[in-house]
Amino acid sequence: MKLSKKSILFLVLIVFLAGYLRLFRIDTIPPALYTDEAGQGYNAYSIMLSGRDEHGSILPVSLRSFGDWKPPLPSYLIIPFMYLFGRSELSVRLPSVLLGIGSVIVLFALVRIFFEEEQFRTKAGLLSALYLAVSPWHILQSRSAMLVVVSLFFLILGIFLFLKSLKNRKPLILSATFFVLSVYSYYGMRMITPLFVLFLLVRYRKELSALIKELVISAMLGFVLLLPLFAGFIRQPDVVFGRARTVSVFYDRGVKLRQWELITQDDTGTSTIISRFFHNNIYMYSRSIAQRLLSHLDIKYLFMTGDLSQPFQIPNMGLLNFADLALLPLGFIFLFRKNCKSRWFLVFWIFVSILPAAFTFVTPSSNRTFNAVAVYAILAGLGSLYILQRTRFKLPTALILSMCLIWSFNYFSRQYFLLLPQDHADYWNYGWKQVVEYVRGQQNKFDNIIVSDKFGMPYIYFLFYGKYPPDEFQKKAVRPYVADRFGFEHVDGFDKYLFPNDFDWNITKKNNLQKNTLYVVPASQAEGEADYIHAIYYPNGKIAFKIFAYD
Amino acid sequence: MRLPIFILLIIYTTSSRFFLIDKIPPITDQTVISGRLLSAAASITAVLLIYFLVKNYFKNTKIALLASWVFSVLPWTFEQGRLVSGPNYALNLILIIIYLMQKIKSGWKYMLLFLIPLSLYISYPQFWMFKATMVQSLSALITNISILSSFDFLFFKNITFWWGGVREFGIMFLTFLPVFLIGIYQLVIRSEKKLLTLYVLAIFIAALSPFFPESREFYLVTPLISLTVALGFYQWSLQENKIVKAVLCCLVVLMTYEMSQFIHFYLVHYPQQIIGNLSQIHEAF
Repeated sequence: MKLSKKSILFLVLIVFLAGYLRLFRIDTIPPALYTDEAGQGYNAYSIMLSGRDEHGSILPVSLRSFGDWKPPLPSYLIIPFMYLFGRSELSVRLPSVLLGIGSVIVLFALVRIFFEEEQFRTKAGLLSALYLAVSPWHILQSRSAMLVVVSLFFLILGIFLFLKSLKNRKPLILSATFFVLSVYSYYGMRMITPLFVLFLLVRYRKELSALIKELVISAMLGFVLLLPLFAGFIRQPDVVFGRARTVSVFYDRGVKLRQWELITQDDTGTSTIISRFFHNNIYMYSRSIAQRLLSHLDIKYLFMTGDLSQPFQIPNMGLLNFADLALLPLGFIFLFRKNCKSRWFLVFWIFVSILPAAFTFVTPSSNRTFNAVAVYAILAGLGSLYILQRTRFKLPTALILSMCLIWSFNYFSRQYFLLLPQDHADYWNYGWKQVVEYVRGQQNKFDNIIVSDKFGMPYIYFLFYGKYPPDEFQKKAVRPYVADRFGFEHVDGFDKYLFPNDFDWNITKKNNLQKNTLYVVPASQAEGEADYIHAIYYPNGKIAFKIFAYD
Repeated sequence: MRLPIFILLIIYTTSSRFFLIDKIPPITDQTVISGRLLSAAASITAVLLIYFLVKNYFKNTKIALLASWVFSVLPWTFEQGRLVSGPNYALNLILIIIYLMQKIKSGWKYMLLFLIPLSLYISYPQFWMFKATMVQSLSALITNISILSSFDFLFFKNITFWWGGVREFGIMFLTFLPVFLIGIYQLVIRSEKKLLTLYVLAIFIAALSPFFPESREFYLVTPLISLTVALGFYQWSLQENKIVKAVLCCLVVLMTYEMSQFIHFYLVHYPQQIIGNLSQIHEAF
């Protein structure tokens, strides 16, 4: 069914709003490129110039990067923008921004298909798109190059085209293509996308029985598109499991230690069988995984504290607008009261979105569960629709709902657009760009430049902002290829730059100062020291880095 | 058939409350054994009262049996039923008042409502409304509500009695989660406004406590939680689909396992966990 002019106008306004919120001062908010963004940017630059990533792999199907084996598509998407606009924050973040805006449009279309038999489908679509456009969680991720916005866009598009193909056969092949692209965009999608595809195949098995030919072609196409990943996996299993291995809940020692403690507490007379019956791996890990899974649904996490790990933290607020707190349960009630066909699909969507994160040890995690943002937007939209349908005073109710949304969003805007860049620039590793600019001006005067790698991976900033030629770095980089306790592999140095792992300025200063060397030290490691030759300041005036010179 | 089940339930509750009550939890200077015995008796009475209250309310013996069984096995009621617990005594008196209100037909029954504050004052003088001189700020209230409604608190970590409680388990068993969610859904679609209002009220009262999380007002909501879980169970058991029934059977097996986990933890690990904290407990225990 065609859209009315009024609906098109609303959609255009929503897209315009989404665009404005995602593009506004994109180069300076967030205040700096985070390590992962710089990593993606430099790898895109490296592939653009040499066809290889920073490790020298030709057109990689997985970027080894910091030992976290990033899916490569987001970096490939940066290349055209880097070609057009050069190496900058803008070109690194633009793919996320554009696909973030695109997600708003595709979600509108998807919601209309979800509720295609209902009168309210267009209103639900518009409201869902609106709530996604102003979602703090979605804005935060769309304004940074953090993989997940790219994967969400392809996932929604894949689902939309799949559902579309049930009536019009052609889009099924495209749907398969986009599902595969989502797999190439984010680690978690290697688990999430197959589960979605499986669910769709089972849920719509009757309709699909008439599309056998298209289904076979799509499956074959999907397989062919995934071949490079399979080939990469055969050559190097870390291509697929490298990241999963190091963030897995089974990598964490906490559960094992607790198990040991409980077994020790058991009476000495307790038989091993009894002890194992109560303190076994299956029970203890299942409980831990369930706890991690459910922590993603806590009100405190969603609406008050959000993700406490940097850089996914918005100061003093959660992931969603506070006004959504009442709308989400109402959205659920609406879905089930109306017996909407898609209700179990949306429940499944939330569950599958948070499932992979439950198997990791840093939880709750907003990055790994990002796919849920689309369902929250849909539920908030349905919740407002439910309120509007049940009231006789539609205009005042709509006004109140709008006021609540504006109030919540205003708070988010202040925290994110004003407070974050000014007072919490450290969340985003602010200062490295300024460090590189300064050091590059001084480097000819010194034999060595020693940079503390206590925070982040500073080498990548020296490559990205220092315009270091990729082919030269591939030859000169000194890499021990040993993972730290978080699974990251450090670079010891290149050229005259050295990045000693676990560098301690206080020890170095006493025992190990080298002549004719420039030291770059985070201010927190050199508190109270005033003999630095230069300092880099955060926007709020506090010192971020101190630079010392020894002749 | 239901009477033997009911008798078994009472036997289970009695033995679970009185077994080694003079040793677990460990004895301190503040221990009043008679207080513990009274608490255990109150816990058994609560199981009985919940059965009759739910039976009268829903006119359904199965739901009533299920609710009293859930109340009997909940980790929190198990823990509180074995120590000197103001909230446990208070809950008992409130349940008696509500039962009397169900029985009295005339409008005078609402006069009994006034007995609730009095019974609270007698049985639970630590209740924050009798002690506190300040009120929670709005932000603290919202934070407390979010904690009380969190899965972590409900299923994994009960932090309301830090030094003397079983912290490693929540209010409910994790295996109750699916039936609890179905129960909540049932309350909503049946428009059980009275019960939902009571839930909200209890959450607010508990969250308003200036001593939160070191306060146990939320304990008063355990009969409602039992009822919700029971409703979910009942609704699930009505399903005709064999696979759905098989899943329920698996869930019951898992529940049994989790209950045995709790009892093992309570008897073996809990005393060792709190033995070092006893000096921190400054109330009858």
